[in-house]
Amino acid sequence: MYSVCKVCSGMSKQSYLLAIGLVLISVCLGAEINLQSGFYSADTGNETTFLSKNRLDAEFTISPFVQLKIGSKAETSDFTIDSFPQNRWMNNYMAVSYGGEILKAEAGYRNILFGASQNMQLYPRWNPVTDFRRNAQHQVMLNLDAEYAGFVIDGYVATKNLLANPIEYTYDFVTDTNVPNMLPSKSHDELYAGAGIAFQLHPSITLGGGYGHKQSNFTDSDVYSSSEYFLYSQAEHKLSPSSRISGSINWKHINGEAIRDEARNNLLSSIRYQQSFGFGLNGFVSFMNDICSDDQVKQVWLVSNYIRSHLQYHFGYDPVGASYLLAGAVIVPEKESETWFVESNMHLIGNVYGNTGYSYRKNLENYYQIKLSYFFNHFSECYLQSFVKDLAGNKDLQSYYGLGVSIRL
Amino acid sequence: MRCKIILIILSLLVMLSGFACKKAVWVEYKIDRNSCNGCGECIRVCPNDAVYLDSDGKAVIDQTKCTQCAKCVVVCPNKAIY
Repeated sequence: MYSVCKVCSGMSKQSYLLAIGLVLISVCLGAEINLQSGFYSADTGNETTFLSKNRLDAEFTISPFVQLKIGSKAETSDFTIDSFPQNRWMNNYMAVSYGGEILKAEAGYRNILFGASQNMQLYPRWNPVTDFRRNAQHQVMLNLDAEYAGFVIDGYVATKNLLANPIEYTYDFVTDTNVPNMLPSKSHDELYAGAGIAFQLHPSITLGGGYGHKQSNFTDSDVYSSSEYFLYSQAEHKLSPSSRISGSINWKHINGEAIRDEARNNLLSSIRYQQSFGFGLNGFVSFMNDICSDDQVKQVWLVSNYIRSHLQYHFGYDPVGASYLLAGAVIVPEKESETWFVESNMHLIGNVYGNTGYSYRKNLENYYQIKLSYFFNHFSECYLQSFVKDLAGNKDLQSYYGLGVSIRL
Repeated sequence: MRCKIILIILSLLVMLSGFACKKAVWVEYKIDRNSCNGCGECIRVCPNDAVYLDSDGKAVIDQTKCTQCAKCVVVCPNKAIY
C-alpha cells in the first residue's frame, strides 16, 4: 500500500484530474468503456520498484453518423525501468468522427505528458551544445475523406507541438567542464498537411496518389521540413474460400534537407498470403521489401526485407473460441534481426484461462510470460501475471510480478 | 483472373527487387502498420522526438529526425519496427 501511495503521489494533479475527467465524461455519455489496471513489482536485478499501468478506452455513438472516442493511458514507477527514459508518462486521446455516405471526417486531439522530463537532442548533428528536456507533446488532427463515383479524395492537417526546456552548455576553461545553463521553455511546432486521391479500378484493385508537406520550426530553420509526393496501388484477391492474397506497391519521392540523397525515391512493396487450413488452423506470411534510390537513379539500394509469419491453432474444446496456440517469426535479414515467438491461451476450468508465452529476439532478449485469468464475463477479467526478460549482454534478469483487472462496462 | 495475374507479377517483382539490389550502407527504420497497435512505447524512448501517432493511431517514424538509434525497435512489443 505504501508503494501504491508513493507512486501515485508522483503523478501530477493535472494528470489525475484529466484521467478522472475522461472517465466521468465517458460514464455521463453512456459510452462503451474498457478499463484496465495492472500493478506490478518489478525486479531489475539491482533494485525493486512498483509499476502501475492503467488504460481507459471509451467509444460513444452520439448519432448513427457521429462517434466520440476517448482514450487514456498512464504508467508510473519509482524509477526508470528498461530503456525508458522516464518513470511516468501519460497519453490521452479524444476524437469526434463523422461517417456519412459520401463524406467522412474526424477531428482529434492527443497529448503525451512526459511526467519526468528527460534530455533529448534536437540538434543531433548541427548543434551538439544544446540539449532539450521534453515535457509534453500536443497534437491536433483533422482528416477528411470524400467518396464519389469510384474516387476517394482525402485530406489531412495535423499540428504537433512539443514543449521543452532547453539547456545550453558552455565550456568553463577554469574547471575544464561543461556548465549547463537553463533557458526559458521553448515550443517546437510541426505542421503536417496533405491530400490524396484514390480510384478503384476494379473491386479488388485500387490506384492512388497524393502530396504531403511537413513544416517544422525545430532548430529555427527548415532542416526538419520536408515534402513528399507518392503513388500507390493495392490489390487483393480471394484465391479460394480459404485463402487470400493481397499486395501493394508504394512509391514515394521525398525532399528535405535532412533526407539523404540516396533515399529520395522510396519503393515499398508488400505481399501477404493468408490461408485457413481448416480444423481451426490459420496462418499468414507477409513479405515487405523496401528499396530506394537518388533522383538520377544511379544506384538502387536495398534498405530492408521484412518477413513475418504467424500460424495459429484454435482448440475446438473451448466454446468461446479463446483457446489457441500461436507460433510465429519476424525476420529482417539486412538488420540481422530475428524474432521467434510462441504463445498459448488455454481454457483451464470454469471461467479460468491460462496464458503462457515465450519469445526469442536475436542479440536482444529472451522473454517469458505466464498469466492466469478469471473471466467475469466474455470481456472482463482479473488476472495474476508474471513476465521475465533475460536481456542479452550479461545484463541482470528483469522480473515482473503483478495483478490486474480489465473491465468492459 | 486479371487481379490474380497482377498479384503474381507483383509477387515476382517484389521477390526480385528484394534480393537483386545492393544493400544500403546506411540504416533506415520503418513501421509495419498491420502489426502496430499504437501503444506509444516507441514515442517514450525516442530521444529525438522522431515518432508520432497518426490519426489512425499508428506510429510513424519521421525520417528527417530519426538518427537510427534503434531504441524503438527494442521496446516495440509487437516487433513491428524493421
